[in-house]
Amino acid sequence: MHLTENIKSAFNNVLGNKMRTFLTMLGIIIGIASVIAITSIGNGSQKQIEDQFDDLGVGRMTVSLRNNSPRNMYTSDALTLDDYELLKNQSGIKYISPTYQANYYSVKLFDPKETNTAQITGVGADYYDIMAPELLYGEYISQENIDSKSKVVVITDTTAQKVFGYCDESVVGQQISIKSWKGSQKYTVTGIVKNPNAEAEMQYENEYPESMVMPISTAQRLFGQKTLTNITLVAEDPDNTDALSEKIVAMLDNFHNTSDKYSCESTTEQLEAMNEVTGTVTLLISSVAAISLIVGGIGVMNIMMVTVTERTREIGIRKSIGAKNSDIMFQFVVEAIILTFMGGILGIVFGFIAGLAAGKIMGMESVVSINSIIIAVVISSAIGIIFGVYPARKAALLDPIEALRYE
Amino acid sequence: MAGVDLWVKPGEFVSIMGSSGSGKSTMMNILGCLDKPTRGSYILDGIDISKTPDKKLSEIRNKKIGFVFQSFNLLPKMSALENVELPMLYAGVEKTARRKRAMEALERVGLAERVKHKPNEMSGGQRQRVAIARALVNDPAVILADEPTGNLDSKSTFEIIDIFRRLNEEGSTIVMVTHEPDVAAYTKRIVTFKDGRKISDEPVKGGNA
Repeated sequence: MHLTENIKSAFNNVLGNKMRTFLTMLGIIIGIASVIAITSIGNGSQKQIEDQFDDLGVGRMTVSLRNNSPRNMYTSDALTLDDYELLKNQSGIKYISPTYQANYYSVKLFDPKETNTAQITGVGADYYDIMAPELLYGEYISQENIDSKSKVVVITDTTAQKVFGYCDESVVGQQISIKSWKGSQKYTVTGIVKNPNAEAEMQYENEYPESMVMPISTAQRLFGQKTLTNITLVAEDPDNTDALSEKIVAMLDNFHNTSDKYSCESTTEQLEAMNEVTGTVTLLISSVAAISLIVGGIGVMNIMMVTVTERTREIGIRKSIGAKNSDIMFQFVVEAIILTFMGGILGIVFGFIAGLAAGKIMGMESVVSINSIIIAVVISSAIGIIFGVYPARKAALLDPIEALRYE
Repeated sequence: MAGVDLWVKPGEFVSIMGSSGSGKSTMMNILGCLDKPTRGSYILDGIDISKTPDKKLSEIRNKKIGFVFQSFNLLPKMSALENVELPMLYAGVEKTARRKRAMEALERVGLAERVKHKPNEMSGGQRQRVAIARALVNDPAVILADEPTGNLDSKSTFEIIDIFRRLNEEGSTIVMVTHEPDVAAYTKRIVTFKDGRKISDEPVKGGNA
């Protein structure tokens, strides 16, 4: 029997009883929809992470002290500007900057009653080239600022909005109050950069700290520290960071007379690690959702059994006029596949919508990949085959005489 | 059923008579290749059916046999034309040829005007004519009719018998089971069964009507 005729007649049969068809497909629809929704959220968060890393640049590496147990820690192990000076002149490094980060400072906001925590990063002159932020107004931290320990600060557009009530060129040159346990100090805004996470931060009001950047020398004086949080650098050859990483770690261990105390990780490594975690979580939740596909498949099998019984006489007629067992088998398998295939398509549509809605609510991006659509279609069709074969075989093996007698 | 010896030559129009339980249904199932004799042989158009594997039987049913049933046995969701096309679909005939031959078969039974109608939009006589068109569309060696007029009024019965006679005149071999002597009288030869045995086999004298 011709495939097209078979599909046509299968469609007629499946659409002949719309309510039953819909209820049968529901299991598949829910299964596919939840898998699609979950993977699209998973893909979305992966993409968000990747975008953030993209902003940070390729080949960026972070040198830091390993988190060993405090017993083995000595003050002499801490990274200082001496380490920075040591690494600065090494070959293979394009840009390098020391950083010092502190979160426990607060900044006065436009509304005199309100303050927010400030995440302050003290940086070197190369930091601008390493992070490549989008500079809106003014200038970034310069070597001159660092040498003269100037009390200047680079803020984001969202911080400007919150501190001054507006954000334009005139904010540059104005002063901002940063409060520490020593008391309040005023810093001059030298530049304004675009906040790459503005959208996400908007949703959480003041839960995000105001992130700002000042010269490393100024930060160390403000915090009364000589140490560094880490050293950030960009490799000249982003594809070959491993050798550079080993060299840097060896140099630092040698310099501090320690062993294996430092790490130098590239962003790609961190990205891979994070993607692995998100991927595993997505896979785990998807497999739970996929269980509903098995339940849906059993529903399809159940209805196909009923269909075969109901249409026993039709099977007898078809056999008496020359249908082979394989023709009958094929006919019912095609019907089962059409059921699950249509369920799969509807599931993709609902899953896409559910993913978008859930993404909106959770403030996450939802990305439906072509892969997950292809997999959904293949899986739903495969369920049709797996759960359709048994009823179809039952139909094919009916005795034509008995079947013709069936009322 | 035992010891039945029955020869039907091409071009014959035979009726099989007998009360229920006489073995005529079993005979029809064997003639229709739906069942195989436990002993003995059945030769159809030169093929020994009793030695043919089950897988081949569907092909023989498709090409060599045309069934006409008492309860018509049309597929309710298909139009008359689609019902008549169905045997050719299983035979693998191309779409245009299928349509053409189905139309011709429906014309032969006088239903050219009603090809788009579904079975439930037709009278019993019309349905049976669709079934006859379906039976003859693959040009079978024999048309097997199992009580074809059992569900019909006398006017439709006469129409159906008339169609069978005309088909027979045009060369079709027809074997018809019936328990109505008036209907059997229109055929050319009557075989009577009782308790699984053939008790008489004689030509119809004079040729009724």
